[in-house]
Amino acid sequence: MNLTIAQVLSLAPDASAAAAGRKLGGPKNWQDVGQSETALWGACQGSALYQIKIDLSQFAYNCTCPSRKLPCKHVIGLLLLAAESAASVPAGANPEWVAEWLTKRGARSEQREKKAAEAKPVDTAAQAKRAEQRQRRVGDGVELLDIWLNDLVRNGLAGVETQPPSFWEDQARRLVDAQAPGLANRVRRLGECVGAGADWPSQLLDGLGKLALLSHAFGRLDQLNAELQADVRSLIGWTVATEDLPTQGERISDSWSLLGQTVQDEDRLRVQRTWLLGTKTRRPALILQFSAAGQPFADNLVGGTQVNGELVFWPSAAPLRARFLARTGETAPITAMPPACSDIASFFTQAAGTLAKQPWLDRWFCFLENATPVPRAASSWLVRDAKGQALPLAGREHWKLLALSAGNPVTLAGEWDGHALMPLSTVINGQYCAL
Amino acid sequence: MDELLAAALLGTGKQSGTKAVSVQSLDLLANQLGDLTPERRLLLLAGARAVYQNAGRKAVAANAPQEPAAPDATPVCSAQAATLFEQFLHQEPIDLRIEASMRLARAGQRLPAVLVPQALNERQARVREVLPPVLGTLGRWLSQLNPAWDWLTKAVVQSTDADPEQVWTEGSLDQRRAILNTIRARQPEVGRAWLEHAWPKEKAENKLSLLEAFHAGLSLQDEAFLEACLDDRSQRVRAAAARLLARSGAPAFSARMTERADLLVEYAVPGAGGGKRGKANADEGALKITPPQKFDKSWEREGILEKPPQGKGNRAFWLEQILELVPVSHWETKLSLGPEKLLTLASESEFAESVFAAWTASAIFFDCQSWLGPLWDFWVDRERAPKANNRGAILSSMLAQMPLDIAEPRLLKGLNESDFAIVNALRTYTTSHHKIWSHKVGAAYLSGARRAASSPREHGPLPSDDWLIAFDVAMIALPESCFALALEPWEVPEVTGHLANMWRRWTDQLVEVISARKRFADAVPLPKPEEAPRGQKQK
Repeated sequence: MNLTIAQVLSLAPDASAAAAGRKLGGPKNWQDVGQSETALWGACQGSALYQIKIDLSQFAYNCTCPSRKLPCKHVIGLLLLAAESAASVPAGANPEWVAEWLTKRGARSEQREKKAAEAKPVDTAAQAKRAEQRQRRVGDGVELLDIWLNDLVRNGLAGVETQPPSFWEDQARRLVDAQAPGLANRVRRLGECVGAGADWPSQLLDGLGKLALLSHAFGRLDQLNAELQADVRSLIGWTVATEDLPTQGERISDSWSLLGQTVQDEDRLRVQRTWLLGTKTRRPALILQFSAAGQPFADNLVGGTQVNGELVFWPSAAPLRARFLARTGETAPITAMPPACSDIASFFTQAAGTLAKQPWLDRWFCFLENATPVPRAASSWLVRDAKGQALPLAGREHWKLLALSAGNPVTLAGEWDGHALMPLSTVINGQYCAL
Repeated sequence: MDELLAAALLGTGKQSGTKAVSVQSLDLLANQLGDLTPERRLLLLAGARAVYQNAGRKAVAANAPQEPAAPDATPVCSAQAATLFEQFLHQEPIDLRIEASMRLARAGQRLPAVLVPQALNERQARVREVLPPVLGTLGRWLSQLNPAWDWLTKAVVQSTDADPEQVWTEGSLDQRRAILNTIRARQPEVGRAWLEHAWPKEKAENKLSLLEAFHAGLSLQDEAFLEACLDDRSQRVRAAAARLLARSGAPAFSARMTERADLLVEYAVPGAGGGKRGKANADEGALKITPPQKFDKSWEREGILEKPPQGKGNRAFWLEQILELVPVSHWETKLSLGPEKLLTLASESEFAESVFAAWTASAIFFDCQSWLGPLWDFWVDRERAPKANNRGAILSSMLAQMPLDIAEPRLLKGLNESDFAIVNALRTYTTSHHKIWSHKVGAAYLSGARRAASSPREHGPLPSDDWLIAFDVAMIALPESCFALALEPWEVPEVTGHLANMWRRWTDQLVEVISARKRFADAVPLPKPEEAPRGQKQK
């Protein structure tokens, strides 16, 4: 097992689970521990003797304790034991209780795939009717949105600051009723930018303009290519069913470096964004996962690891969002960064090319080499390339990045939103460091 | 403000005339869309421009960044040690990170880069004192870039080649005191000259603080300056100067003090009587203690106060202040009696409380080590000890001066007898001086605590929760050799109630902290042969 202590602790659902896991990280807490190429296992005495097993290829886990926090402190403790005291976890064959669990997992996974592949009897007529109904509702919703947007601009944005929150929320609800949740979220975000920062009028106008472009594109959907149609529909709120994705989306097998991860709370959900880069294909990918508070994410993705597997991308003119169809072999740590953009100008050229294909992209992956962080006292920090060009860094201060770099150029992975770069990770002396 | 934004803010409904908004290079696109309402045209142009601006963004030119940090040859500690250190940075007690920093320094290791910013955010002065070696060149480099971390730069300035005189003339009070202390240790006459020169302009608070540094390199050469300080307006400055004169053994001052004190303490030869009980002791003689009848204003020059604190009589107060300024060894010489005999006689005096307080303070101040053991034995003897509300503090102060061979047997006796006063003194001493206990003291403490833990309701002469008061310091003061003893299972009776719960909580916490200290010690082995930690005596 090749995770670092920091990577193990990043799996904990919260700080108290991490602390509780640390207390169980010593050999004296464990019995019957062992590991193989596929699994890690052990037993820990709590109020009962709990058995813990971990599937190393997927980082799936199972513990017999009754804790509702997942992963529980026993899983964290066992992973820490393996990370800190490898000698305490001897190699061996999977014991029967572990092998049985792995077999059941494999069988469940096969059953899921089989079920997905089995053709279900489909009432095509009902399906078509539902699709037509939705198309009509969305169309009506977009029409009303256009009227609302036009009224806004006719009356002038100067007065919008005095509007109550219901001004935005009511319009958002109408769009939800019209089955266009993507448009509803955009309207809500526009409402949040009013009064936020000195340049909010400019930000608001940009957002309203892009919303108008989206409604305009919907109005002429049949004139767009299939990939851009998929983007427009997705942005409005249509989703691709999980069982349809493997057939509709582009599939790419590669060794994927997980280069950065953020977890944020949005509307009572936790949203995890994990950025990946294919070692051979150099394709970037974004895996989005959602969970209710306190629940684990479906897929255990650990920043700083390399995963062999097949990704399937959501249909798009600039495919970025993806999910794993299959993962093979053991997850390994990243020890060296894949090749990156040599300078900021190259990155901007890449970004322009992506935007030309999909103009509504809000965030995309930036991977820059020879980047030197530059602290500034009164304004946002910068990251400077070898040619003396710089990008602003999002957020206030980045002392951790500065300390890791020691003022030297590093390779930096981050998320660019069109205005500033949020640094996510770097590799120093062969060690992945989340920022 | 650009035309598009201006139009949007004002509103197309308020635009005069029919001139359409325009964005160069995008008008061609907009015109291809045919007839558009002004609102729609404005919105679509705004949207397109937003995309164009994003796609056509250019980087800004930036000045060359700061020089990188110099490479550091000091090896970085292990990942396990780093993880533990990071935990210590965010948990109490702070002694965990003090001990961890000192251990890393002794092992010749430093913190990894990722932890340096967190360590630089440290606010506790005691931790800051020990951090510099483990922060390395990276820490010093970062501290120059962030004003919130300039404490490290200042600490380094104090310990390296910064111009001492410049620090003396331009530094903060803390820096000036530190540099004066340093110079007085190396060149006392230079330090004295600095202070003499600056003296007339210094505020009383500054004088008091700077006189603290004068103990370093103290000698008879300082007599003239210190005698002049006795004319200062501030009573506290005069008192501080008097103590320095007393410690230096300045002849004129010592003569004044002993002359004054000799009037207050006399030995009545055997048969002459005069003891507390009014009985003549034919064999032992008696000490006649006669506190001053009235206050002599000239004493104020030596910082002696006239008005006593509440609860103390005038005469007793004056007696104590006068006796404290005379080395207690003077009485051995004058009266040809040893400490035990003098203390026995003093204990029979009406003013025993004051004499004991003064002689104890004198023994500590003048470091009369031959008196510390006998004084201690009197103070812990409930039959013979004089009354005092602050016995624990007195014992603790004595512990700070007592060498190990004098202190240890007495501590062990007290701990084995479950003497609460000893436990309390040990705690007070450890809290004030942050020392690691000797193995014997640690083992004796644990043994006594386990006895109390196993019967929290019915423990012998010691009130059953009194061992708990020292648990918070024991967690940190127990030496490494006692870790295994501390981690043996604790037997707390399975009873309910506040006391048993407290025992369970404290023993759990003790085990947790000792476990953390042990894990860190295992992660950072020290080079052999193992030396005593720098700056730490063991008790």
